[in-house]
Amino acid sequence: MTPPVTADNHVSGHRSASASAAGSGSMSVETRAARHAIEIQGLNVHYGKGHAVHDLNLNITHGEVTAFIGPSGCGKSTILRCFNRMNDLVSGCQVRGSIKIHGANIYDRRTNVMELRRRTGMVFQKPNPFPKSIFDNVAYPLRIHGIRGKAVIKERVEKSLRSAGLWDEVKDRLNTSALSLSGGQQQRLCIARAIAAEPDVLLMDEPCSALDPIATKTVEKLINDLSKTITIVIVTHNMHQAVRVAHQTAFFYMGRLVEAGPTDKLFHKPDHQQTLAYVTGQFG
Amino acid sequence: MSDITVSPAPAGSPPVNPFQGRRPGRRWISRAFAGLSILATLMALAVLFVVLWYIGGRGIEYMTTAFFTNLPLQTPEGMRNCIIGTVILVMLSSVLGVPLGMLCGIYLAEYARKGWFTYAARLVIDLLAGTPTILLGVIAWQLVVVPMHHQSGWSGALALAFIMVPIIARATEEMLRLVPHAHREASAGLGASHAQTLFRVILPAAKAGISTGIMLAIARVAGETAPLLFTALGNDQAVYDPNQPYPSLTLKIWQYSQSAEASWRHQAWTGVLALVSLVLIFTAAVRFTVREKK
Repeated sequence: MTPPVTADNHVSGHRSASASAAGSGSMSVETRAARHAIEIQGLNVHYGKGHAVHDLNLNITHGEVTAFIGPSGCGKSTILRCFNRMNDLVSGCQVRGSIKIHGANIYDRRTNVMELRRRTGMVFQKPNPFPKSIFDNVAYPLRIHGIRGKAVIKERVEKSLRSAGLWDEVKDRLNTSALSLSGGQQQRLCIARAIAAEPDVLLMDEPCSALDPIATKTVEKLINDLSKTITIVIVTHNMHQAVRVAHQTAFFYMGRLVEAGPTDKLFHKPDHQQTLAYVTGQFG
Repeated sequence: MSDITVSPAPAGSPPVNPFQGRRPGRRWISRAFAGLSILATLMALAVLFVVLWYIGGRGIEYMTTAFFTNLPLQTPEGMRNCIIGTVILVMLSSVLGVPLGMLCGIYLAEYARKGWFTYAARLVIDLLAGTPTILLGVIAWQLVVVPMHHQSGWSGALALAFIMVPIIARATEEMLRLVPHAHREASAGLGASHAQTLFRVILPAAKAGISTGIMLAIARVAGETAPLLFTALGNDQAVYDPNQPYPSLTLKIWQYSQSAEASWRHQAWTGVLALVSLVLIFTAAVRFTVREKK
């Protein structure tokens, strides 16, 4: 069920400092960590009495886009929210098993959740800009992580907005409220905000589900561009989107991983009957 | 003009409107309800207007410059010390009550877990909000006046602060709860601590609502008389030391309104007008400062 290791050219750039601090330090972990941004072992998630995720084992390749697909309620968002421990905010949610990001177990007691979240940006289903100016939205993650100095912040805000393909549209009105932007612009603003603190991993929870086709296209192009520098995990309801943006795809059903592999293979020659049925639209 | 031709109704049959409702009653109920609520609003406004009209008329009738410049025992008499006393008294109680109330509200909205303590805390705060204010005066008397052996500004301020805390706590809690969960998630997802999220996202988003709550609390205590009767006590001199019995507009109004002396009763009217104006000016000022910027 593990995606085959692919030739990977962006191996070494994003080694995490905490990998050596909290990891077991063995050679095998070091080398694996270089290829796998996220390693999941024996992950089980419970909401109260409900068992949302069953025994998940999956590796997510560094520097690629991985799509999570599956019908509603199959646990894909839940898994995504384990990667930056957003599930900590949900009362009654229990996570067991191990998730290593760049070799460090993020559910370790010593993990600093705030630092983890700085390094794993998240984009949500609905655009959720703060009721602040465009500039302040993107500057927010920088400020909370202690970056002072107006020049530095200004430069990083511009860089993030350029990466998110929003700069030209908003450069003349950085001080107007972010809520004055259109839905697609708001979502790109949220992406700019998510990458402003320079995360290694970007988690996207159905980022286009509230957007029109043109805005969706822009965001997909953005995902494509960003994937050159960071690992992206995207949850999507839209199978065509998975085909368009993802190198790897994982199919989940009823809280279990059915199949994971290169997107092409999963959509055209899947190993499992269930996957075939889903990707050909027979259920879901 | 006439590209569209309207076919005339066939002769002999009455014109029929196909959109005529089958249940016209719905429309009447809807109208009646709208009318009822407008009527109720007008009645409430009418009461307020009558009160303001009466106070304004009587107050202005007896208003003199001496009212604002002189002390009660001077001739011509005035209430300068009482106006200043009320302003300071309300400020002192705000210094105590606003942070305490806000912190309570923040605790209840942000940190409290479900359990007996939170349940009890909410219950107590609601009870406190419903407690007759004269009882809160008794508590302040017991806590401050008894040990000091005399009435003082401090005890009055404490009694007023007791009134403010539950109002502000509940307003803060409600306003914080109204901030969309998406803002908290966004902030947490970027790696903010709970406190950073609170101070940089949630409190700014709830700012207008919380300040309205604070304003209501301040306006409320500015008009309180009962809890000051045996705490601040009142003072005819220009004494603004909170260790001494303290001048207050409401106490003076109360005292003068019962007087047989006509000029004192007239002064009471002007005092009421001054009090209402103070609250009005203050409310307008706060609204103006925290208005939503475009």
